[in-house]
Amino acid sequence: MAVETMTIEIVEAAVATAAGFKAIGAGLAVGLTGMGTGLAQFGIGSAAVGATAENKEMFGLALLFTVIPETIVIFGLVVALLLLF
Amino acid sequence: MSSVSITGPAPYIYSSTRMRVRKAKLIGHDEYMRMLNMSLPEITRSIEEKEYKAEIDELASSFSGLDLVEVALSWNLAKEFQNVLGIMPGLIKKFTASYLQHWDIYNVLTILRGKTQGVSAGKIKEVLIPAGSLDRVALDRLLAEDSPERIVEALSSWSLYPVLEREFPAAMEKGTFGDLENELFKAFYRYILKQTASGVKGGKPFRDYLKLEIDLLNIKTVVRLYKGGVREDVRMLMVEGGSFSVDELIRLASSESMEEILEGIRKRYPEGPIGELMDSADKSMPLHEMENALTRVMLDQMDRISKRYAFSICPTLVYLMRKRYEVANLRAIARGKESGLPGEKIAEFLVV
Amino acid sequence: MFEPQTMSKLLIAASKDQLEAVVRELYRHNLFHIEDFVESDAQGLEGCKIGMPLPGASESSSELVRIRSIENTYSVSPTSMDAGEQKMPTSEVRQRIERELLAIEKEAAAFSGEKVSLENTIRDYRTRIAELKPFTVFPANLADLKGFEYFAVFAGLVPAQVSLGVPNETFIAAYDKSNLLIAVVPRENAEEAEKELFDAGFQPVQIPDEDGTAGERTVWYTHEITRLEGDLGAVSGRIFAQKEKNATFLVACDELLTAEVERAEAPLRFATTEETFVAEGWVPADMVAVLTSDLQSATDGKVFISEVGFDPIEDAVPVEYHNPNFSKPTEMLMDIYSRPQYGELDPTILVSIVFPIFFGFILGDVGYGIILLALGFYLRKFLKDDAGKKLLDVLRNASISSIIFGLIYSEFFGFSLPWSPIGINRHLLIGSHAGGHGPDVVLMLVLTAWVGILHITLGRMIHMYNGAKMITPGRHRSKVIFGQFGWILVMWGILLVLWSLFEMPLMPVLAGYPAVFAGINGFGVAGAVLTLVGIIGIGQDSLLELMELPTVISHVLSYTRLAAVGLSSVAIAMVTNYIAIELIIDPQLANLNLVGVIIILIGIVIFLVGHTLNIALGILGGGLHSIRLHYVEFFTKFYKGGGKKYEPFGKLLKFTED
Repeated sequence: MAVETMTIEIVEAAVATAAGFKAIGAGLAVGLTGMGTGLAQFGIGSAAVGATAENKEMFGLALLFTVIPETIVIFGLVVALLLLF
Repeated sequence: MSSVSITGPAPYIYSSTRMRVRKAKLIGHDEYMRMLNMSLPEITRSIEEKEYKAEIDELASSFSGLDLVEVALSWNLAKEFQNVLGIMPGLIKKFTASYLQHWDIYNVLTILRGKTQGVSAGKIKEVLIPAGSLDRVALDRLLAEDSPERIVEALSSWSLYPVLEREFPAAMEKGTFGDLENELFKAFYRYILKQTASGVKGGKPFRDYLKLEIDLLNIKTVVRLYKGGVREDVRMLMVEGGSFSVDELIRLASSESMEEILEGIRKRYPEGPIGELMDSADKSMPLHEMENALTRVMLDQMDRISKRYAFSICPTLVYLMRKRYEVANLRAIARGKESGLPGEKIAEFLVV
Repeated sequence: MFEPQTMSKLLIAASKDQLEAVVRELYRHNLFHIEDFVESDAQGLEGCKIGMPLPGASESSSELVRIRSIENTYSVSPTSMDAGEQKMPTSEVRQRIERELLAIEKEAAAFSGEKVSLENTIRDYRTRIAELKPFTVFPANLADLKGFEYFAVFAGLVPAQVSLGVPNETFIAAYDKSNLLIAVVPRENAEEAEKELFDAGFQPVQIPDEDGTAGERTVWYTHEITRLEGDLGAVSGRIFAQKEKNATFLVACDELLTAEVERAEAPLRFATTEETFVAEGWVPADMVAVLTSDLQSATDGKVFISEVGFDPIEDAVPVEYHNPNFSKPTEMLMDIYSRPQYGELDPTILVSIVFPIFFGFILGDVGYGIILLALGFYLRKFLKDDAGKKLLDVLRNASISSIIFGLIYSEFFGFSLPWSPIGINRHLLIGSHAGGHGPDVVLMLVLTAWVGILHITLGRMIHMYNGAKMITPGRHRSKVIFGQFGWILVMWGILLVLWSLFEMPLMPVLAGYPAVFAGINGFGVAGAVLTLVGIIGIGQDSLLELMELPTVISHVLSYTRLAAVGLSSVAIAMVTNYIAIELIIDPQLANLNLVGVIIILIGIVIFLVGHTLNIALGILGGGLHSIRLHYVEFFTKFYKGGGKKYEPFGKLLKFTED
């Protein structure tokens, strides 16, 4: 009896740990890719803001260039979603 | 503001991009060619449709004709440069501000000259270009002073004041401000050369460029002196810091013939645009054409380094220079039109 | 469709006495895109010069400068005004310019003079306040510091207390991380004192020319500024009243004179000789006949017009879109990227269909869709220019698509509608109502990957089509076409390999067949062969392109953003609902009291703020990601762009009529 409860508890704990690691993994995926995107966007962003400040017509293209590195964080988000669901 | 980080490459990327966009908006060769066929009112309207709209619109109710264009150009240049200073972050702002100080020299001397010649304050004000550290309000104060001595006194917080104070009595005695102007420019170049080592990005290429600019400035002076028949007392007029030493320049200035001068320059710059210019130049080349060609060499060199050092101080400086020459060109066109010069003649005075 | 308007190149030549008639006729038709004549690059027209403006250009120009100056005073601008119901005849405008312009100008000048002088005084007072600021720590009258005959006064900021070695009277007080120092020394010691001060890091400050303490004067100036600002407001009010009266006349003048100037200056864009002129330009092919006959009749046949041949690929032909009405708003999205070249396929229609679908797929929520739709209609009041209207049309299509997808997903502000989602479930397991198996994440990811595969394949196919159409037949053309085909082969080859190895929802199941080679089944081997052939195809076109091979996978995966961004939007909506309603409002409703009402109000605020933010994010996310998939993933496969905009010489008259 005692042995059985132990096993169930261990299994439950193991499942919880696995879920926890998954959550950590998902967090890392989004967090780290977010940082990567940020790093990439910072230079582009400076230039984009500069160009748009001078010529409003550049807004569209500037915004576009700025969001290009977002692919990285989207990959992170996809990985996180796959981990969680 | 101080909480915003202004280190790293971002400020350079930002300011360089902005300046590059502005540079692209400057008037191009073809547009100048069309303007040469226009009359003064058409030119006024045509610059009103470009970057000079605000000034022309505002001033058209109080000025007309050539005055309108002249004042609008000055206002626009001053506004533009103050605006550039305003948007530059941190170290770039400091460096740009020190570069723009040459306008202070221009303004102070214009006021001093105007005052000693008894020109009215309003007339002097029309030709001032408050693009440096002395803004419109500061210049108005100077204009309100009644004697040159008081003006100099009122400048006590100006960074070039020590030079001004030292040279001013001699200038008043002689009755000309030429030497004072030279000394101020020398001090300005010394100062700016020192600033290039202040850790600003692109400082080193800009220092190399400044050497070229000083050389070209000296060359222009030498040629001008030769054509004007001046052979002595030239030491005072030469600016240090270029690749020619002052002694070399003096030797050059005392040359027997124009060929000798050109040969001397060619020795230092055997190749490249200056060498080519020296090859094609001869003594029949008019002074203004020679000067324009040298200016063009200067601008091209600056363009080149601003492309090589795309995110540095250079794109900002190259824009400031180009803008200055755009205004000079428009002024030349407007004045030429007013005095009825034909288009081809005016074109010779343009730096395009 | 899929192609821009067909253009013809026209050469119009005549003697100079026909110049005015020709220009007038061209301007009226608003069809002729002038190719500016450049002296330095005069192919076939060597020796010609830029023409001189027609007479009248000068006068119209100076009048126009005056008009625009008045417009500036009244802040009127022709572009931001709607066309009036009644257009003014040009003759009437002319008369009124003669009669009234001077008076209006004087009035405007008086207004602007008044305004400028008030503004200048205010600015001056502000600088004075700034200059007084350091002296606010000095309690005595500032006038007392001036006018000494035997003493020199130094005022400025010093980092620390300075004790001077000359007889002196000093005042020092802390000011803004530094100290204000005022030192009075006998004139004969002035130089010495100055040296000592500068050695101590003294920064001189001008002593303001004021009578009174700095504090008093600051209060006085602040008071004056308030008063002057009141005056300024009154002037602005009067200016506004006059604006109402003059606006229509001013814009009519502007339009008339601008037209006159444009006509008069047209010769600046023509090539001329002593006696003749030549105008080169482009006209839509179907309008050539009309323009030609009208020009002939306007000049009594004294004009020579010829259609010249051109190379549709090499020449910079101006591009005018030629799309069905449905796709016209999307042209704005194309222009943001770049106008198509004359010779290439114009993908506007494809974008106009796919973009709203992407948008709806991401932001599929009936509530959000309705709000965006309403927002679009509201903004129509403010965005009056052409680009703004087109943008709003695009937004309208996108929000309708949002509503449709919302019905499919069964979503309304993150709540579910009374029916189950059709096909795709995006409801996350948030809140107490959560039940079922949660969102179909894998399904959505695979589906969006499919979208990517098809979209990219389409892009490559268009590149093949463009290659066939734009490149002259020969080795180069076959290389390009086979190179693009190679990309398609690589992608589908990789897919075959994947299908042969794994079972995936929504994908053909090719796994489980007997292995034929190294544990890979027949389909897998076929896929590998396709990939290899594809790589050879890409490589023979350009070896450098091989570096781009990983984009085959990354660009397809990039389309999964459609699923991911959408789900994050749903998550924000549901979390907002959960926090606002289940955590804050519901428990309070159970037993209502005064505190509870306040908490409920807070809950409502959270609800509104959350959804407002989510809508803003939704526009950005839905719009940007959708357009970015087009620009980055789709267009890079085939689109060149860089076409020149077709800008005909002439103008649609808004305020005047002939």
